[in-house]
Amino acid sequence: MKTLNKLRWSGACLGLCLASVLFWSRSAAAEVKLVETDGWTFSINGRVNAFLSGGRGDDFPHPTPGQTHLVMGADGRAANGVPDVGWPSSGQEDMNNKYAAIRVRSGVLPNVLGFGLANQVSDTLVVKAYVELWSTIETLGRDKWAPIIAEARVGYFTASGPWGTATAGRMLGWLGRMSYDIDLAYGHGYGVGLPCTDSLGPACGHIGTGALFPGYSAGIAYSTPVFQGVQLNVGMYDPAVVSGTGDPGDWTHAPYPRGEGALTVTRPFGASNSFKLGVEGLYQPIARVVTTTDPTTMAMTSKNATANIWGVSGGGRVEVGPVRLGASGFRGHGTGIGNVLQTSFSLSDNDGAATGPNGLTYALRTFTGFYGQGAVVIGKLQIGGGYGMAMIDQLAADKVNSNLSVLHTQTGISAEVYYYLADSVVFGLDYFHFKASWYGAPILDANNQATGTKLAGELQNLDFVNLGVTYHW
Amino acid sequence: MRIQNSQVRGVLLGCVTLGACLVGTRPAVAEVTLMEKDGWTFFTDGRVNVFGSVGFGDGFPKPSVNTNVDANGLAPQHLLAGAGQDFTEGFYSAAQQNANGKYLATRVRSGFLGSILAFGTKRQITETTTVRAYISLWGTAESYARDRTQDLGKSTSKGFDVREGYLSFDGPWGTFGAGHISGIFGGMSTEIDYLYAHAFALGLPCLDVYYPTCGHVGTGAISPGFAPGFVYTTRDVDGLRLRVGLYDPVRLLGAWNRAPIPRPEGALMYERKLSPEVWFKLQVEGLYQPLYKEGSDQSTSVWGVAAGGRLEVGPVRLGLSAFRGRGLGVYVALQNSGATFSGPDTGEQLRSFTGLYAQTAFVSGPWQVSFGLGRLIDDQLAVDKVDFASSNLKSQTGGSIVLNYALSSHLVLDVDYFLFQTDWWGAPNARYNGADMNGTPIVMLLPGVVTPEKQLISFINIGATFHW
Repeated sequence: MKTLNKLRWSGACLGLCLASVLFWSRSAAAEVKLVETDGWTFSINGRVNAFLSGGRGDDFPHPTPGQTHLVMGADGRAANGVPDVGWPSSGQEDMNNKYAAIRVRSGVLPNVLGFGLANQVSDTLVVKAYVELWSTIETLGRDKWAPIIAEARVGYFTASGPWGTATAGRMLGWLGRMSYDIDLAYGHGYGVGLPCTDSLGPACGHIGTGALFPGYSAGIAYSTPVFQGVQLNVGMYDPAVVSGTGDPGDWTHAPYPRGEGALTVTRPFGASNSFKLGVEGLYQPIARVVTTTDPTTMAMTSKNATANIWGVSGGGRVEVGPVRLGASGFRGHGTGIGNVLQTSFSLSDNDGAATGPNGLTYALRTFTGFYGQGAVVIGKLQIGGGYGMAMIDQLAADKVNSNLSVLHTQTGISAEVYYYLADSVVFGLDYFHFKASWYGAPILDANNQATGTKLAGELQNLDFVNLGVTYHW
Repeated sequence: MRIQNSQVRGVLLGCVTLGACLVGTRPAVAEVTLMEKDGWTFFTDGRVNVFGSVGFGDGFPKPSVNTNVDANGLAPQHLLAGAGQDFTEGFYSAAQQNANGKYLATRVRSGFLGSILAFGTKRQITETTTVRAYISLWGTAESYARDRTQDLGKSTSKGFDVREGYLSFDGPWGTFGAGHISGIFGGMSTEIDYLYAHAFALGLPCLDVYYPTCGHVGTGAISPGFAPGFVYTTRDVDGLRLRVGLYDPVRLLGAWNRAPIPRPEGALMYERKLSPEVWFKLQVEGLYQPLYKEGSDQSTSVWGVAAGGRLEVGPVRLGLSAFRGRGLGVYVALQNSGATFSGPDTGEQLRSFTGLYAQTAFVSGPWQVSFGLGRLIDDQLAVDKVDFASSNLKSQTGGSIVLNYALSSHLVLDVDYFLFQTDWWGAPNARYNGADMNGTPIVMLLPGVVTPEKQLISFINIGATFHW
């Protein structure tokens, strides 16, 4: 009951949080109207791309010698093709644990086929359904025979009127949208940047190195009309379970929908300049069942434990003449380093393969990221560069856990050149330097007490060069 | 440094191989224009088909019994390669064979191509250059493993397989394509199979459980498959065209995990119309891919060469093709299967494959009747010849008859027959000869082999295809 009350209180907090956060809608995707008849409009949009992507540098680091421990994100801890922390290759390391490989892969946005069907219901009401099918060009794990299963990444309908827009279905979340928007617009909308995983795309651009991907989920959202460039967006989303370990004592309970929202300000200034500012927020209560065994009677008792995942993010971008500048930052508790609410052993102290001296605490870790991106547009040419860093705060339990070296930072430095051959064809050449550093495993004494010292932190440095072309409509 | 040098050597060798080879394109796909507006053209193509497919004959054989018994009446027995594995060698069925090892089953399933829904868009971007995007979604009529719970969106069955997703530029300089696109090696044999036999038929079901079927692929024809890549085709110069491609490297998982360099494939094709009634096309193809062991500099390479031709004289069509290569696999070039390489105890050595395929067809108005014969041969490695614990694939042979009737330009009826025979080499003869200090039996090889296993199975397929 206490847990329920806590969750109810959390739900109340959620509303207040949403009321105090800021947002804007996703940049409108271009679309081509195929048919307009009897008040119905059928439209299509999409893209196809391919990139030659070469990577060279360190493969996922081995644990620093000195004591047996796990390096957070080590190969095999996450499912094949699912991004985690660090960058493990799909078995491509040589005898010196170096990575050098060239692939043909999709970009940050892969092949997309989008369909829209709108109906003018009345003079003041338009209802539109929109579905997007996403697919990469590469198969999972370089297996030529494996199918590429199309993913219905987006599928929602909207009702729009003078009162605003209501959206229901599967859609992009809010937290981290400003950073994602900057990365797409000025960084990697037609590029690759960092491949999220070696096994499977789409690629990450600057996601995981300062930018935060909001992710897609089922939800119901409302956006106010734009007033003086200001728009408020709030939404309730299907709650995400972030445990993924199969451990019944982990955070497997997510009883209430997740609130997300954003407030944005978009304004032109001067002859042809504009800026956009946005702040975003997310809140989700979670719970788990803690089971303890009486050492004397061996009787088992269970109690509920709760926690709150929260995140705030924000940023802005400005376009003055040919110059584009964007900057963003985020701070989140249990949110993840790159993909919001994606299951990962980095989210909490829940990895049974690296249990500390006091057992698993399931405490949520806190993440921080910042990201800056610039670009100059000269005719058909766009030249850009970006820098970002994301980091994980160590838990108290991490500082005494000699079995685990926790990820400290992930840094990305990027450079991009895009040439717009036509309004629908873009050639891209981009470079990405990825660096990951770990805290290093703490060193314990013979009594399992922290000595205050630690092994040298592991390090990974990788460079990627990507060359490709995108056709979009 | 050694790796880098060998990688450079690999690329050079690949380029040389490609320079010496010739290929064919995928048969042209019809398209229906949905709309032309503001310089954009949107089109669709696709097909839906379904076949009643009856299979009868031998189930997957059991290993022959080694009768070279010792004084205790014991003899070393072996495993049959492909047992328990779909789409490796032979025709494996998990649950459909009876107590006598016979297979008799009827399915309703998709044909050589599954149900396809494809969309494309074209746009003129300069006076001479057009850009085109094409995405095709493939599905099957049948559920995975006859299990209707698999219809609930599990990835084994009802999700769309985005078999193609590429863009291409067409101009007077040729065609450049990029994305998930057809491979080149094996193109000629597949084209012959498609055009003269199984485009609207079924042939050999690759697997009992599901998937579009194989036609003659696996019995002499080899599928180029689809892969991420960049492909350039020169313009036609007096009937001559060169096609070269660079593809995402494929791993032979569990054996040769490291594939650091993209795979070059290429083809040279020549076609000519000698008279209104006589036309022919010739092409040769090549493929090369270096592979390495994970965490090691141990290397090997997959390579293949193929050639073939098509001749059309009045109503008669004739196609012939052959291929030879190492590490290719039985069905699709660079197939990751146990038939492709030996076991871990023998270094996972790549086996060599040879395919021969002949196909004829006779066209008369809406009728097309076809006859085909092909064989795939899997060479024995030296280690296979002394591996008493296993009997490996020797050959797969297919004979086919297809009768198609085009009810309209978009609807084709089919009856086809496929005879499929698989032969194994037979495990080397062996017997126990005492035991070592640890009590482990010592096995002594004897001349000859245990009776080679064999599977003979027939399929009769009746169905219809609507395509647009």
